[in-house]
Amino acid sequence: MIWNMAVRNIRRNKRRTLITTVGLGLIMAVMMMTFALQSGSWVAMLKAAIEGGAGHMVVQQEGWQTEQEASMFFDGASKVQSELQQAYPDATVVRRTLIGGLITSANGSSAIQLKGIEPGPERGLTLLDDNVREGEWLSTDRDIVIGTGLARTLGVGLGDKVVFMAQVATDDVESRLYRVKGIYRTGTDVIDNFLAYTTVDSTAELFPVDDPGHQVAVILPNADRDDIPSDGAARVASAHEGLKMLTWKEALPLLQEQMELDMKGSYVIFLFMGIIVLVGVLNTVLMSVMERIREFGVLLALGMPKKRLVRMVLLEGLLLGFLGGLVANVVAFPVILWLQEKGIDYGDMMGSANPLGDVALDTVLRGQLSAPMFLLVPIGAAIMALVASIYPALKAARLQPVEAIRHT
Amino acid sequence: MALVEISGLSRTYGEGDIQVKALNGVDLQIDKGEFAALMGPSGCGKSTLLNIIGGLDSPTAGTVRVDGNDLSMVDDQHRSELRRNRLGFVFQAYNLIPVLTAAENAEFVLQLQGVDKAERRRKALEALASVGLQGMEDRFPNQLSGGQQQRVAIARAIAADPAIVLADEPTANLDSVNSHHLIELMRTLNRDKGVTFLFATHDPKLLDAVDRTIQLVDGTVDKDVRRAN
Repeated sequence: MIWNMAVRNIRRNKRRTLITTVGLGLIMAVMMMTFALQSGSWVAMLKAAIEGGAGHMVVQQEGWQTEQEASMFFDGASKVQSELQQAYPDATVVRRTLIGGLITSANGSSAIQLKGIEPGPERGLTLLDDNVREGEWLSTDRDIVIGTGLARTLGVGLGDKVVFMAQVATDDVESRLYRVKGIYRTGTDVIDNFLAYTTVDSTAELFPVDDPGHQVAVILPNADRDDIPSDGAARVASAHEGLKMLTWKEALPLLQEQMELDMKGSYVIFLFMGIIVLVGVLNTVLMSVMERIREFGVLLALGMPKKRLVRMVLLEGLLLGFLGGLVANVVAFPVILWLQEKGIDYGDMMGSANPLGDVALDTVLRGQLSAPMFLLVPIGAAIMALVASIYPALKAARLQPVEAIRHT
Repeated sequence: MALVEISGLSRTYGEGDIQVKALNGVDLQIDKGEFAALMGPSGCGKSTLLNIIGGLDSPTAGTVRVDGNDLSMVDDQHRSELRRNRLGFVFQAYNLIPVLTAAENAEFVLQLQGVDKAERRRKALEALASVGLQGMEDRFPNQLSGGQQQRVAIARAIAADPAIVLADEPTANLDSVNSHHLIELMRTLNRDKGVTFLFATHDPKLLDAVDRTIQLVDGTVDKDVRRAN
């Protein structure tokens, strides 16, 4: 009967219940959408950073992480690659080089970073091939893919020749001729203006060794980002003098810190929103208690134990919170689904704001639909509402029946 | 046998210089099966006495025993138990629980007592039938007239077989026809089922119907008149 009474009391003042639950629901829906967008953006950022950048694990010269000098290459990159592939048979293992130098064309020149990659396996990893607006992605060792900004600076188009020159290990300047195979646009200035991509094998000619590499990255399928099985990679690295293995967290320490800081900031905002929810429920339940003082007096006069009265009022609060949580789900679900499917394209706004620097980032901000969130929000809202109802419930239980019955 | 025994009962409200003596040395005894009324002008202490007998208020001095329980010796929790298990209440303003149907209102005290569902339903329907509300079990209070609501209140009061029903101005909000019917109903319950009733009332028709009138003046029993049947 307590349950029946609580449910019917909630339905009793339909307008107030509606306003309260919709109000709570909208606040919580905003929280859910913010959280979905935030986690979606971090997932995308981490994915881009890991797959297009460091990998889940990366083997490189000790000190490369901070210096990133072209001279810090190592020989035998293919051997390291095949050892890592043996250690992680399901993983994608790729070699990379990164050389700073000068690129020139008939019409201009520019200082750039040339990234040597393996076009085949990297195709599925980096977002660059999706961003190729003109021409095609890399296929031969003669190809180079540049950004729209660089193409403008150099005054080149598809099929035009460019020469890349760099000092890698000695005082001699090495150079290499390429043909522009594709032009991409990521929306990030630093990538579009100062980065170019070619095959890692083509860059070998610039090094004084046969099988150079700056990094060998391991990208695991379906890996738990927080629990990387790095022992195998560490063993491979330690078998080669001067090489070191880093997990993505070590390779991208700032990103991890930034993500944690961002999440903490959100929790503070969510805490404030939670307090708003709490005050909303407190207000409604307290109002409904104050309106029913006489009724509570009757219940107590008839011999209802105070504990039972407290339970009934708490149950009313709990139901209000739960309903608010359901409203939040109903409002947030389609929006988050849309954000996940379509997302918000902020490419034109990004400019130099790419937090990943030279790793292409998806310019479409997508929400991440999380099933536990849709379960946790009504439960969390119900618990918060329960807490908010403690004071009104105790107030109701403290009433003296003889005075409460006379209350008008 | 005395169901209610009151001795030297006083109740004072307020503190310091501003004190009002609502009851001043009341001695009274109500026996099982009585159909009695407390009468007197407003402020004479009728409702206060009824509230103290009902365990809703505490005496300042004196003793009150209800069904063998000394109310001056028990705490709030035990008083609540006593109200739940041994007393029935009928209020002037009906005071039904608006979100419960007539049957659920009648069942309410039984449910508090922990009576199982089928049994309390049976008793509630029986009580509603005895107040003439067959077929109205599923109506909510706002779907009933004032007279019908007060009948449900009586059904609620008697459903759990209380030792005594305490009714504070039960006819005050009713028109004369409904008031008449209600008095007849309570009289019948008293005669046929032996339900003990104690009223606080001004209503001359109710006063005509009772077997005993206890007149209070300024917080004391002025007259206690028993009518021969």
